[in-house]
Amino acid sequence: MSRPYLEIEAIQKDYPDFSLDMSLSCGRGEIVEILGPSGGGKTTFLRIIAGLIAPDRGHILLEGRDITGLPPRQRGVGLVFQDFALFPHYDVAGNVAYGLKARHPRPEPQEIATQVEALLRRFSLAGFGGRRIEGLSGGERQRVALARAMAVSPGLMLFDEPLGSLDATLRKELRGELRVLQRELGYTSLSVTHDQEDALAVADRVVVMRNGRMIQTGTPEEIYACPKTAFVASFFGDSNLISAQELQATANAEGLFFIRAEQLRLIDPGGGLSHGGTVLELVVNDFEYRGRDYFVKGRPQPTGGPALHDLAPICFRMAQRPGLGDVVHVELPQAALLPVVDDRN
Amino acid sequence: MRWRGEFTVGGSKVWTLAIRTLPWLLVAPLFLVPFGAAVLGGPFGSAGGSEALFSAAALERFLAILGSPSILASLRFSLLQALVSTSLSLALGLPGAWLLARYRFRGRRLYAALSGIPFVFPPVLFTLGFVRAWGRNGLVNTGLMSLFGLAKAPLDFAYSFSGVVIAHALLNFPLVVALVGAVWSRVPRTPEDAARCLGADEGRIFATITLPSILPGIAAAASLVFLYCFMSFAIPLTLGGGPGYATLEVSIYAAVSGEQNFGKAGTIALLEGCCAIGVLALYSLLHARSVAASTDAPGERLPLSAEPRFLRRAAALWLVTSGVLALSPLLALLVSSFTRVGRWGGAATLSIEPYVKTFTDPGSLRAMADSLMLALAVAALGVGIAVLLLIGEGRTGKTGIRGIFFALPVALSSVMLSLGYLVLFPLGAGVGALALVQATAAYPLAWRTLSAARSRIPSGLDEAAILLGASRPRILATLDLPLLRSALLSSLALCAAISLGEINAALMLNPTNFPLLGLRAYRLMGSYQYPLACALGVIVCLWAGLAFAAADRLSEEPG
Repeated sequence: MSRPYLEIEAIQKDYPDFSLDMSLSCGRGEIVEILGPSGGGKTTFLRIIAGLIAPDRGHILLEGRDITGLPPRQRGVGLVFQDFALFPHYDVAGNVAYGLKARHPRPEPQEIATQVEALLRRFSLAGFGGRRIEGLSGGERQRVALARAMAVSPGLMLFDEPLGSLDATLRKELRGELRVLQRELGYTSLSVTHDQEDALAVADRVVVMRNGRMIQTGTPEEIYACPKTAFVASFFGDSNLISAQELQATANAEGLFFIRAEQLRLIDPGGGLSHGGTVLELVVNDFEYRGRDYFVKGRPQPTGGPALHDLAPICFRMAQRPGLGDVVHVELPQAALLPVVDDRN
Repeated sequence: MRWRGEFTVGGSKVWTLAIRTLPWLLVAPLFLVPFGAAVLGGPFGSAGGSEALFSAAALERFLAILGSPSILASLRFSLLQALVSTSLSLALGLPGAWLLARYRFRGRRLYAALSGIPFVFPPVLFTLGFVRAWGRNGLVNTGLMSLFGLAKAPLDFAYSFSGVVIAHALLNFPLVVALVGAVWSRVPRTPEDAARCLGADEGRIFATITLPSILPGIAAAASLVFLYCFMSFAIPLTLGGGPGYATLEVSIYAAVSGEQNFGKAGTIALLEGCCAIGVLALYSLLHARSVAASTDAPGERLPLSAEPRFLRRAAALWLVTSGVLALSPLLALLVSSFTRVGRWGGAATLSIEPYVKTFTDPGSLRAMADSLMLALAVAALGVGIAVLLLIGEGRTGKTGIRGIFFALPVALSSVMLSLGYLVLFPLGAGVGALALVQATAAYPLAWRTLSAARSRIPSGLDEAAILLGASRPRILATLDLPLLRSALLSSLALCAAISLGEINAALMLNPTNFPLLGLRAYRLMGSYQYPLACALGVIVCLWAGLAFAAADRLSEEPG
């Protein structure tokens, strides 16, 4: 395989209360989503790649070319800001033309006009050239921001929380639109987000980031199914973290295990155990109706031994509406229990 | 003190309407009556009592006065010096505004605080300090002469056109720093980063992104400074020194005190008032545009220490130089107040003689007592007006009326209003009129302070109190007054400070048997008794400072 399109080698940046240390590489046309809680250094990382912040150490290579020391304007990296950062005093065409006009030598006005026209058409913005930014919808703004960045740097596009400030309906709509545009235009996309759903929905590859470090990377399916640490496990979906002592029945006496809520089975205590897993006796504590089924939290019965006294509630799913205080038996299939690194704090 | 239009709990709509409109109706006559008297009693006044008010003859007389060469010359000078003063203030203020908006550095707050100088350091004392610093016998010249062994003073510009505009610039550039700095720090930053990523270099980013967004803010600050300079009184009166260098404001005073020509004075007042209202309208338009383009919170400020060395050095040099320039009149005032002029033109020596003389002179002591009394009356009146307007303003505080009542005391100056009181009371307007005029000029600052403090009170508190069963008077007594206590005290101090050094209305109305500190300092300056004048000036500043400190202390005590 040839060299990756974008290589980030041990980029480090130190702040008084925070430090960043990341390595990452992306193939051409790949969609990479960097996911992590707010304040984890995601935006700083993106701004370092764009050249708005200088790293203390490390290298950034774009198509094999070292761009670490270049100012943003010489990098050819497009950045789409969270609020799109459109220029309110220019119209749509003025925004899209901005980067073209800043080029040295400056292209002929005729040439700029032609390029702008082509870009507007490509982003379904034909006829929007004279519109003011104020009057645009969220989707139109996103497309203007993309067209503006694409005009000068068609290869690599960075997105800083592109859907961050939008309401739930609109973000689903724009998420779909972004995916379609990326498929059509084939740019390499590197986004940061704090929303797990967004990341899983659009990414070819997810990078989980916390406190300035990469914790795990993989396809959305891998991350969801096989989280390596307790943090990653609890970041996606409804999961249970159970220690070895609490499980008792397992061979290893120590370590932390993870199992998704939907993998717990409700069993009839009268029937035989079919999977050979641990069975817990739970008292229904709380439940939510989730449409397809019920998401239930249950407390272990204190009969199971002293270790279970301060066990966190176990969550699982039930097809029928439970009653509060009901006693149910759930089985934790042995195969579904995955050991994870305990990085909770 | 807080009433919402929506309240129908425990009060009829008529009552609410009355509460909301009465304050404006009570305060409006403070301007309308004297200004009306100034204009109608002058050019449009009936000469013999038989003539109709707006007759053709009256109009003709008005136009004749308006077209007279002396008024046109005064208008030309007002506009020209204001234009030059404003340009100079911008040149001195904009670099500081940029540094203040974008960087963190030691002394940043101190530098920003320089913009408070015009509010607590009265113009007449500023002028006195300016002459002591930069005048022919001032500290700078004396220093240069002894340093280089010169026989003649190298700097001789204080009493000239240059002197007027430089004094204006030194007084007003910190205001540019504060106003433009605030706008600049609230300009959204991401568009600049976006332009950076799109390939623009720093010069292009400034020209195409930053400048368009701060331009309304710069224009607003410029129009305000222009207005202050256009309507300036003490500085051109002292430094202009003649009919050729008189602003319209000074010309009104000259027409009254020199020629006793109330018709001419009223005509100038009308002309000046119209110009001022025009500039103010422009200012509010620009201000609204700059507010609309800014974000809620100031952007991140980078440490100046992280910048390259040449920038750091240049910034430090600029901040220190401009800061010293802004403070030079205040410093010169202080130093001069501790000197004794040698006999027969000998060298000045350090001495506390001016203070000894001041505190043993019955005239000065009388002036101190009377000024203090007047200041207390003005503080009570000014804050009273402000509280009244606060009631009328309601909680939303976004009415057009509000803007007009902020603008009126600026557009209709104390000199104009004093002229009106002179027309109304030809036998002498007295101290009462003086207190009213000073309070009228001072209330906007008190109002602004109180209004800002009230907007910080969470809006749900009064609703909560009403639901808990409190009556309106009870809410006023238990919620608003305790929460506004510190703002009320600093408003009182602010109004008193403004009264203490005021000479515009004091000179116009010149109440008999009521000596005042500002006037006394002005007259001592006129007779070249600088150390004595400066000692009085320092006492005024000290009192103003003490008033603020006391307000600060009192507001900290548990209420």
